[in-house]
Amino acid sequence: MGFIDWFIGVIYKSLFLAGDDGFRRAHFLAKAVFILSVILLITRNPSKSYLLIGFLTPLGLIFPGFEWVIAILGLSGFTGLILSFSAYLLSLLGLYQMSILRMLDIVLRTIGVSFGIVFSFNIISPIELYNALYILRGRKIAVIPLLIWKMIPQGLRNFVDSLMVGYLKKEFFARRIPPAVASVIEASWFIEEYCYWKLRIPVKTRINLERSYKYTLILLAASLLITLIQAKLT
Amino acid sequence: MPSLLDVNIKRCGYPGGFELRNIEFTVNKGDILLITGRSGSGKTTIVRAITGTLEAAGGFLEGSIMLEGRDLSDLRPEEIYKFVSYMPQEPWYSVAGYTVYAEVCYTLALEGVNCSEVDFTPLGISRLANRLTYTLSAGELQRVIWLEALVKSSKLLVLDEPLVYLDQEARKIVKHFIKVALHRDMGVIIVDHDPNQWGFLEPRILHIDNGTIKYYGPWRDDLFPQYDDSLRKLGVEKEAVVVFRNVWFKHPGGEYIIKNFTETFKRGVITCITGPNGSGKTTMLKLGAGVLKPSKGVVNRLSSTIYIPENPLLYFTMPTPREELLLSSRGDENKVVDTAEKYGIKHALDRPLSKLSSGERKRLAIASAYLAGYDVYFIDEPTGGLDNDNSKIILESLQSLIEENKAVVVASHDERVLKVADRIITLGQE
Repeated sequence: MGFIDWFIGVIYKSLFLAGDDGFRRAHFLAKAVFILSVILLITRNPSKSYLLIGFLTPLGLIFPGFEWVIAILGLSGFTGLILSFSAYLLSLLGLYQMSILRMLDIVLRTIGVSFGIVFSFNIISPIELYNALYILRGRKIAVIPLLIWKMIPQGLRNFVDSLMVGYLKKEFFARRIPPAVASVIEASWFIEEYCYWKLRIPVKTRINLERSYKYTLILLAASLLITLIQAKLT
Repeated sequence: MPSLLDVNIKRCGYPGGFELRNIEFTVNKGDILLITGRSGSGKTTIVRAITGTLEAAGGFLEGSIMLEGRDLSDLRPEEIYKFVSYMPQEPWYSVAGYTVYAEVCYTLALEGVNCSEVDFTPLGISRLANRLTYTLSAGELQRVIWLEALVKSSKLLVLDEPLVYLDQEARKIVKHFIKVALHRDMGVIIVDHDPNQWGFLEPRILHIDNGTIKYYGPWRDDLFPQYDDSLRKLGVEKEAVVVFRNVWFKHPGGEYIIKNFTETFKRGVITCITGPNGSGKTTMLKLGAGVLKPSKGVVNRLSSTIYIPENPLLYFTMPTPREELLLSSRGDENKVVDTAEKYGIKHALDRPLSKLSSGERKRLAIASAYLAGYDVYFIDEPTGGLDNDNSKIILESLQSLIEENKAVVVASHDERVLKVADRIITLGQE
């Protein structure tokens, strides 16, 4: 159906393919350590951030799986190509030299950084954000992460349906944005009405998230590996 | 002992708009009340009044709504929420959680109950626990809402058109749950435009017409006419327009939902694709229209196709019916007026789309597609949520399309559609 549909499909798959499975069940401290090690690698050794592709591809294959990895590679590769090509165009102005190897480096680093960001986003469970807000006395707004994770894929699906219609009507994709947005706005009105009381009551307990030792250990091992390699690099 | 619900509405409605007058009724423990009436008669306004959301919807109320002798306006949100469980016609808008587990646990957290203390199994929820809520069928979502109602021990259940999006199997489950609720001494209010499907429960009837009570009393078999099924099959099969050959399809990360499907769709007939929730009806329409590609096999389209989604808002391009129809007719004002008249939307030509009823939106989408001149119309749930009068207008408009040598393929489990369909394809059968 075209590039935009593919692109939205990739975003959907990369961010919202699964529920609270896999690494989302790892202990939140293991997640924090892992995300910190990824951030340190990206910030302290930006030129080596492509190494994340090597770490995160096997982790992504363990969970969420092959389709997710392909989607991420597609999304981040596309972003990398845009950045690389933009840099090449700027080099034509004579601001700096740009070789093929340098362009490839930009693509790989972008894939590594994007992979790191999306994977980190993906292992955070909205239930953990809910619990964090609960602990921080945000009991009336704790539902917000749950709502966001519910609404975004629904909005993306509406957008895809709207694009499908536009494809048949032979309309430019930008014309399909207002109907999709209108449907999301209407959906939010309905949620506001049908969950009226539900959304106005402060929550009184946390929500348990069943933990997995397996995924906790895998994340800790990956964090250790990233940290060791980083120590060697510096 | 005060009634579970005691409604005494002098006036209620929306400033400068629709109003209900002199609505009085009661619901006791173990009672079932059916509120019925045509579209626009005021059923939704009554539901808003008894669920305490009328003011939030911009409405007003003169009179009183008493829950076990206490005025609803004096109750705290927690008390209203616990007392009344509301299942809207579109159950997907009444859940806030992104997974079934998150939704149920969040609902319990409002009660101060920890999830681990609750058994998810009774309603078959445990196998759904990790499913994303937006991927659930209407029947599955309703089960989640049932579980929540049972867990918080609501005293009053309000069900708005609970059967609309359900297949026959899921309908049986809902009817069973209603019996369970009554057995537990809950009060049950059902809002439905088709009272005849509830006769087996012999509910009390509150028949609303144009904002006032037309009848309030015990169930009577003679009260409502049976569905007018005067529409007849009209189709005459002509040449093929879309051909499926050994088509297989699966969504990313999922199982095959269409397996080795071979079929020919022809001009001059209404074909209805039916089957249980989740059997692939909508997917089949999208494959036929050409917006999805088969995983294996071939779909040959020999004429121009269009797909109209279940939510017609996603079909439109322009903000008002007139502009939408003008776009489709390439600016021909005469055609716009004629078509609007034919599809019963002339009165609403300059109204914003957001102000159109669901029936008007569906008719407008079909009218717009018709003006654009497509040959094959793939339409998802064309009569979903519509009362009999609106449904009849839609079905007549589909028949007028085949009379003009078009092909119509709809996905539906609505008996009213099945009665006029010239061909029926049932999915989900081995």
